[in-house]
Amino acid sequence: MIYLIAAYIVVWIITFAFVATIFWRQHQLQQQVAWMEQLLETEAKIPGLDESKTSTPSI
Amino acid sequence: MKHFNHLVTGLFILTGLLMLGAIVLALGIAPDPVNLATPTERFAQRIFYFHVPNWWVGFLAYLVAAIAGVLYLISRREQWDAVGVSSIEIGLAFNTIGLISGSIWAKPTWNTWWTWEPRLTTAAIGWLMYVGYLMLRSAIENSQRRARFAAVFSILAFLDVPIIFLAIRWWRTIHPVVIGTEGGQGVGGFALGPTIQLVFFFCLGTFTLLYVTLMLVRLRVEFLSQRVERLRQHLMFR
Repeated sequence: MIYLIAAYIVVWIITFAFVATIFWRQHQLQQQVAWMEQLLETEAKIPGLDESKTSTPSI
Repeated sequence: MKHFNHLVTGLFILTGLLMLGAIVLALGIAPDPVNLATPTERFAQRIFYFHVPNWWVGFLAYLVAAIAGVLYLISRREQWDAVGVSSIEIGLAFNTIGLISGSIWAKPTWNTWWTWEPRLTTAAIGWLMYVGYLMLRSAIENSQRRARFAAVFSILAFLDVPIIFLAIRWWRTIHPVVIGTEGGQGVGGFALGPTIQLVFFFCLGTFTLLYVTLMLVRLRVEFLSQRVERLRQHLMFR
């Protein structure tokens, strides 16, 4: 009986952990996409904004 | 996107309900095989209903990845690479469960957690090859090169799958041959009676549906990952 319970616990722990990992990765990637798209949108809204204006001036 | 979310949610609910049904059938309805003498063996035999479907999903996932590999090499479309990596990751998760559940079943039946017999050895080699596939992917920076190498690797690694399946038929082994035999050869083997067959195929179908559901979710993650990569490139070289 103990082996049966152990096997079923293993099956479900790994399955749930795997599904949770997929959803966690999806959440992280969605946040990254939203951030990058916002960055591109902000740059597009400000006319004349280029690399030289956004970078730190050299001393 | 909204329709896709509804589809995934619906599939998860359906799979969850079918899984509950599979547990009830495997633990409550399926009869004990007549040839297994001790209660410990009979209880352990019920691992079969989840152990074999896990391996089935693994093999199916590797087949899908190998086909995706061929299609990538023909078309060079990155969607096929996404299908390949998604499928192998799912297959590896299920094979890990298959290896562990098999080991737990082996202890009361063979009195050992592991033995280097043909089925277990080829299965361990297969598992290591697919771990190698993921390591190979993480080691290559260039996405096209990574996809090309991964496609070739997934085709070559799939050669082990028929060997794993046929190992117990080709060589003398302790592992039972349950499917396609009358009385179930090997130590801990048993005959597939009508009710056992019914429960087994129900579990097989349920796990196949779980694979389809997970594949959809995992593919979405892979496409998101490709989108992040494209946006990063755009931001870097704008």
